[in-house]
Amino acid sequence: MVAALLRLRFRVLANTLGRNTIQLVAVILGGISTFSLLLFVLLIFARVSIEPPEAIQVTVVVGGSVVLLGWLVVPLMFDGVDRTLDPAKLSRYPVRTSQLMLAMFFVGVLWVPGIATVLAGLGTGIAWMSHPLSAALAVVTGLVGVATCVVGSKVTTTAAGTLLRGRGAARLGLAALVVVVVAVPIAAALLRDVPAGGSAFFARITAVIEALGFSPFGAVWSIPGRVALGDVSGALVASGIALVTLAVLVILWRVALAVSMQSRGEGPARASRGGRLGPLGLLPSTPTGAIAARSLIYWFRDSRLTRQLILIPVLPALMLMWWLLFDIDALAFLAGPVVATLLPLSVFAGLSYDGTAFAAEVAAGVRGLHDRVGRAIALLVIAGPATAIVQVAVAVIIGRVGDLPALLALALGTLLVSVGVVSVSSARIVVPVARSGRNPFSAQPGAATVSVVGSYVVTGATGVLAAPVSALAVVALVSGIPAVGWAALAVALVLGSAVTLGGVIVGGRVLDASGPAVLARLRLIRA
Amino acid sequence: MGNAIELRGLTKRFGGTAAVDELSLVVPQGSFFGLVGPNGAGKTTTLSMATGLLRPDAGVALIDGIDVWRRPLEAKRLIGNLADGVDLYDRLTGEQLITFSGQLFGLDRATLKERVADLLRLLDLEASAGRMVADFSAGMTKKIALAAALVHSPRVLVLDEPFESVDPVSAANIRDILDGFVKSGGTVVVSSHSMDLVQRMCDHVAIMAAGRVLVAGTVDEVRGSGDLETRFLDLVGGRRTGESPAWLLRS
Repeated sequence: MVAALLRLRFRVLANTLGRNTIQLVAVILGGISTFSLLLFVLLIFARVSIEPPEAIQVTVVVGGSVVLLGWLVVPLMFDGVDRTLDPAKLSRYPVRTSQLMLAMFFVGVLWVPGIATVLAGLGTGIAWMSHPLSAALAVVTGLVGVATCVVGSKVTTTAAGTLLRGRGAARLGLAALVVVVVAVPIAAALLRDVPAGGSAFFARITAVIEALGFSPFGAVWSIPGRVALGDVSGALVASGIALVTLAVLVILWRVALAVSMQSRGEGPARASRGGRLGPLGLLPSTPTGAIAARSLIYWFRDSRLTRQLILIPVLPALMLMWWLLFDIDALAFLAGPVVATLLPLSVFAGLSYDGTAFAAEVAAGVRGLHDRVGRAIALLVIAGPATAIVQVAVAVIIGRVGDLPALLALALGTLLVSVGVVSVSSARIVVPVARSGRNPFSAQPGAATVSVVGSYVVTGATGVLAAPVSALAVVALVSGIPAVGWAALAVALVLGSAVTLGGVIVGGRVLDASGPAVLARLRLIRA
Repeated sequence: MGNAIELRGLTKRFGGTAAVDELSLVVPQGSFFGLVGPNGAGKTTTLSMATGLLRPDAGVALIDGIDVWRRPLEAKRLIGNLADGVDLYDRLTGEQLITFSGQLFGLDRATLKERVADLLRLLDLEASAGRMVADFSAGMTKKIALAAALVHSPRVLVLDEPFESVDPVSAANIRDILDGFVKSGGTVVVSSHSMDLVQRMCDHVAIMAAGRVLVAGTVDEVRGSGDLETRFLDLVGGRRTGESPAWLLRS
């Protein structure tokens, strides 16, 4: 049965890629960059193998923990998880949950990121070349580590998908999750006040790595090193932690799958009379107003967009945590610009999220300019306050309120420029995304590469266009002259508004010319 | 009387194969026009090109004499379009979706409020007006899409499979609405698989297969002495004779 499911998955994959050349190219490019990265990692392992065991241990544990964390978090940020073996599609066939889980596990392993991680996991053996016992152990712990990665990513995507698809109560769970993530840096802030003697910086780093080795992220990778260092009891404890972690993840995955199967199907046919138009009743009754209102509603009701809103508190929290660890102010005050880039970036191919529903606009003969202005307004209504609040909060926390004009210039300038750039890119670029209502973390193969390449181009364009603002802001921050800060803010608002306006006009022209063609492509992707 | 829709030499190729092949068709003003054909005949592709959703490789589409692809903004105001195979903005509630569609055509708030209430009542959707369209059944989704197509009071209605998955009561209600629309001088084009329905409901019909119109005219002209289904099967062919395989026969 598992073999049949795997054959099915690769048949579907081959057919999809055979039909869509761009996707095939994306997969190949993604594969090349992934395996270049793998080669780089293996070279590091080979290089470090001649160092003392302590150094090898740090490399392997930190590297392994980062990879595991990546498997848990990255699929939540980019489209990249394959859901060919969606339990919903298979429910009419006699497939056991355990068989399905096994098949989904191998699907996770037998694709570019999975294969690369397996090779990197086995590669930890190279790092321990000069310690034969540890090298042999590393092959085993490497495979256990990869299994933890794959199962962990299944848990986070299944759980988050179920939460986002659900309404009402499930949202509370998500909110709780966000609060926890935000609370972690605050806890770290409290820890920071614990006096550290001598070289505080290195003491802190060493403590972090020591803790990592016994955490669920690092335990499995630390076992060969503990053996090499003669720490047998530590190796046993770490093994226990690693196995318990994997077991707990498998159980969580099973539970999440069961919950996701129950929460599907038709909801209760709850009668609900109208009378609540929301933003559609507030904004002007024009095409632009309608499109802005609909976009606003979608930012909160479409889980594929809502997941981007989660990043607003999470990313600044993470950057503040790094700031606490490394004490570099730049890490903190980039939080605003990062939010200002990422929110527009999530709709750099925004028409993909409309899907064929975009036909409503084409059928009504909406002018491209009206469409672009409407979407830009919705984006600014959400991202504007979010960016400003994040940046002010950061300035207060790191104690640089005096530099607020320059910090706001950096954030708001980036935001306005990104909105302009995205207004052009999304009029033309369409990528395969999960359809509305499906698990928002499901995707077509190669979509991740298209999103990543597209993101680079859009971010690059934003960086170039925002360069004058950034330069002035940096001068203001370094020199500390208030007048330069205010000048930066003025330039940010004027230049940014000009780029937004220009982007909206150009994007509108592009959309006027390409509207039906974009719709045809959306139909092709849907089919 | 002029022509509500006139298609001349419409052609669309996907890859090497022509989905619609130099198709010409005239829909007279004030007619209730049925477009029938087997699966894959090119009905949806034809209607998409006629309503400005899909750019033809060649040919002309006129709505009330206005070229859809040269003056799209004017032509599209005249069309009420229920397209098949496209999604709706289904994260909106039913009421929001109709309002959104009306606003895309620039209707003011007071007019829109009245029309939305009328449409929800006519299509028996009042009780679900505040529910998200994603939670609607297939039939309700069709009805809300129809409401969105009607809200700007178009002159020509182009409805691709409007009765698919709609329950008999709602179907009868929709027929009443369409009949009233035609009596008041509007034009309706429906595509359908149901010969029975087309024969009872429409006054004109065109049968198409493999991207071409095989025959078109009034229903009485097309069906001749027999019924529409017999004529259709004669023209299109493809009937299979003989029994089902033995393993499928229970007794």
